[in-house]
Amino acid sequence: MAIVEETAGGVVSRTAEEAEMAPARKSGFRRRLSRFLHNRLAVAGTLVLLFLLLVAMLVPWIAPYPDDVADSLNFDAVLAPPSLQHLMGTDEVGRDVLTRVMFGARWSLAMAAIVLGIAVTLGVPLGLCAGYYGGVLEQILMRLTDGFSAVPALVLALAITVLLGPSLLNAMVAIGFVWWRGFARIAHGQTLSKKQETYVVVARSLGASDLHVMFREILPNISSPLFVSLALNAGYAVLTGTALSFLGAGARPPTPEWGQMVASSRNYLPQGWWASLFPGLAIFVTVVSFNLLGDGLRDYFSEE
Amino acid sequence: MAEPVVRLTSLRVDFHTADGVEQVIRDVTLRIDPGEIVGLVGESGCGKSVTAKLLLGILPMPPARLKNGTVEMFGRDLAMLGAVERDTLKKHVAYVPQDPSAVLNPSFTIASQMIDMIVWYESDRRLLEYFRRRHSKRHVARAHDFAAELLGKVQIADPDDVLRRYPVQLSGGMRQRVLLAMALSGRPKLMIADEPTTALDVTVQKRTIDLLKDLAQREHLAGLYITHDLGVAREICARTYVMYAGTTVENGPTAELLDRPLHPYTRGLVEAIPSLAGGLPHAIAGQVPDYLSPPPGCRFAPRCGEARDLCRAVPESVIREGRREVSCWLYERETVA
Amino acid sequence: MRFLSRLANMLIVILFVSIFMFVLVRVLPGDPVGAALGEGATKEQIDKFRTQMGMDKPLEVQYAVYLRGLFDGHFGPSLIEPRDVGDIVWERLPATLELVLCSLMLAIVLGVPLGIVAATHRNGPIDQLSRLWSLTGVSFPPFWAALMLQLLLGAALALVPITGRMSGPPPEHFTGLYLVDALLTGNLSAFGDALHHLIAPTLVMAVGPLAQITSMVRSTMLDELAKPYVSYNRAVGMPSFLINYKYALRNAFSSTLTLIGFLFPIMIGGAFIVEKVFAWPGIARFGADSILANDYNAIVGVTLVVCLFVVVVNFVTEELYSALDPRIRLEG
Repeated sequence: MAIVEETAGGVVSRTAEEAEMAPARKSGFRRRLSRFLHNRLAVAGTLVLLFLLLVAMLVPWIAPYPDDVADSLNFDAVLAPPSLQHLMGTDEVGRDVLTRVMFGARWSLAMAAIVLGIAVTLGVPLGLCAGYYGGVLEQILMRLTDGFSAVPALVLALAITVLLGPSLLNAMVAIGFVWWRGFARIAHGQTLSKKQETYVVVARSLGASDLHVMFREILPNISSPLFVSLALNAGYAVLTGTALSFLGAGARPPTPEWGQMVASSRNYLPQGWWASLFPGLAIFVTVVSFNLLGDGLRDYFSEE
Repeated sequence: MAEPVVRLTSLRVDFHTADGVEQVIRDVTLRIDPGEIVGLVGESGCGKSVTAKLLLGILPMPPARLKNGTVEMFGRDLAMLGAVERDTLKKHVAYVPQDPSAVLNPSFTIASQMIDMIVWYESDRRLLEYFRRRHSKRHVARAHDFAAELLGKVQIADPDDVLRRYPVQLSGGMRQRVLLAMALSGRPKLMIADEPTTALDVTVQKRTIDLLKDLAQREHLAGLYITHDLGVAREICARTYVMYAGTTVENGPTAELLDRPLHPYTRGLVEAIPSLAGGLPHAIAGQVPDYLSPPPGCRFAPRCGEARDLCRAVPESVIREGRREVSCWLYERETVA
Repeated sequence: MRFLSRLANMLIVILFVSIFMFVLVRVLPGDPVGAALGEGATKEQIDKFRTQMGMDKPLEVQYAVYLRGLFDGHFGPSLIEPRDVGDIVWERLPATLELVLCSLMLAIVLGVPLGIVAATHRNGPIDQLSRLWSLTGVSFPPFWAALMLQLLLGAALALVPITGRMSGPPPEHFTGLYLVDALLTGNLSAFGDALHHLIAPTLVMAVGPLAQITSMVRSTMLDELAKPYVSYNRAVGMPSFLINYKYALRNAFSSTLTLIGFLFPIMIGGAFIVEKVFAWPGIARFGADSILANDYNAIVGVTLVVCLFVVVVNFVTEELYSALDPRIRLEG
């Protein structure tokens, strides 16, 4: 039953909205899951990502022109516009764009995975420790994260990549190295707020080691914002990675990485615009899907 | 007799929510004459604030819909007026809300907020005129003086000092007084006070109530005083309406009403007050009805010790008894021969 | 007092970043000297070059030399151009500044009213559009958006020029910001020319920030509009315009201000890409080129200057923050 709210100044219609948003009938998890599933955009995003994953895994078998991944010259089909044989046209050396875009999915998903893997592995424990131990450690961490926030992520990543030697792997490492601070900050803030909770105090008084408390008690309880951040950052990871490749610091030709593809086809614009359009479009779709997933997760977890 | 300042007749308001239609106001009839303060008492959830918001024009009308009845203010039927005209009437209504801290904008000085209001009322709702005056030193100085004068009326000792401050720097009682002063800036004829002392300390409450009474008298204000506290109603209201579940079930001169309650609900309320004479208060058993599917007859019937079948089936009608009115079948029987 | 401590903080951060960049650039593998001198350089030539540049001395000494040079305004010679990095940076900075500032202004001037309208007309067309935009705006790869815009506006529609800053002669130099200089000297044709060239890159750079600002303004305004003082002001008859743009916005804006502080470094990062695509003669393009060429001094110099700017911007936003919210001033 929704009672009409009566505080002076409180807008009555808000209660009506809240009533709409909280059918307190199903159990917690199932209710949230059903909310997530009702969020059609989030579901769409997830489906697209699953589709991409599928493509990435099956591409050697389903790509129309699997040889076009690497060097392959096809002079008579250079820069051919989209047609039935080449759904996305061909690029400046005659390779099928569709095939290369499909292979590119592997690189981009791998990029997201590696970047986030590094960032999380570095950032979360650091943030946990800083929040838990406080004191000097915390101060150092704060200084580090604040200090680096002045440098644009892209710039730092670019610098590190180039200095390591331009390659896709180095790019991923560089970006991951730059991004740990976001996760560290979240982990730190969350740890601070959970530190005083009952279960932590109890565990400590029972003599649990610090490590145990941090990783078995606190960590599971702060995982939700971390997951949300993970999904949202995946999109940015892909954006940054492809940007690095575009600038020439990441993947090198003939790797069919989306950013790199846009860069090499750029020289032939405005002809052969499809060779630049489709890889970029693929990036866009991927990032949008990650963002949708992230937003959906955020809603999903926010009902705690 | 002069025209009533406020007249609500057989009001019915429904709320269209995602869960269904909530029949929040079923039958409200209310009258406020010039210069008199009328009380509106009832428990939480009975619709007092909805009524107030309706009068103030801040009830969001898409979810809420006026299904029946009329709302007349200053002799004009509000339904006949356009939005702009209705907004113009607001100047004559002094709104005293419940929580003064929540209602003052923390980022602006008292002077700034008061002057904004004063100049706006002066400009007769013309934006360009407002901007001109707001930026003219002469007008602002005049408004500042008027603000100081208003603050003096609410017994603030050092108006200029208060004007310079931000809301966060004032005490709760001060803020309520500032709000009272702001309410007077449009030279109002009607005051609508929605539980204005609930958020204050008990010691401050008495002073604020005395101030309100005093102001109403001096400024010749009519008023609607909403409260759940019968004692306060007795202090300040000439006449009082008792409201239950969206219906005005009883009304009359306050002292008479509280000393000799007619409606079973009113009786329950009065008995629920702890008294020095003796005994623990009796709470009224039961709960406010579900507005989504309210009982067809008298809404109090499920909780009423004297309810009969008629009460449960048919909505009650209003019976007059001298200066008092009550909506209850119990009294119908007595008047029918 | 707090002002001074923040100032000190700022300087520490800059110092720290300078050390980090300095060390990083020299410690990691990759040989810029060989790259700069070209394939045919002999070992003697390389060694001589290194001695000339002072690269054979220990790291701390190099750093001390470098710091001293900084005070004179010398950032060290660049490897790509035969000049001091400081001079190059100084010359090219206004171009990037102009670009970033214009984009930021565009994002704010468009984003704030859009956010307010989205909040006041909830679920209306503008709200839905802005929510869609919030999602897509941040998902565009900037380099791709830049290229597509170039194609569309430049090639297909031939509406605006797509490279460079000016087609004709630039206005007299006062600030280096062409728009400002043109106005100062009354050079309307130069003004128009510069503006014309600014359109495409500014649009690309503003896309993401616009989306984020709109979204932030919208959600903070929604929160603010639900507060009691808003319905109080409506009850007493104050006009919507005043309530939205003066009262609610003032309180809601602090989060947006923080966001703007965040966006600034990101926009500078974006400039690295946009300047490359549009052949914009700014510091970011120089930075990108120097990174790819392993030009030590240039990399450190550019990073330092970028850092300095971001820190200053953060400082300013923090000051604005406390100006907006008197509670911070009074209690802090």
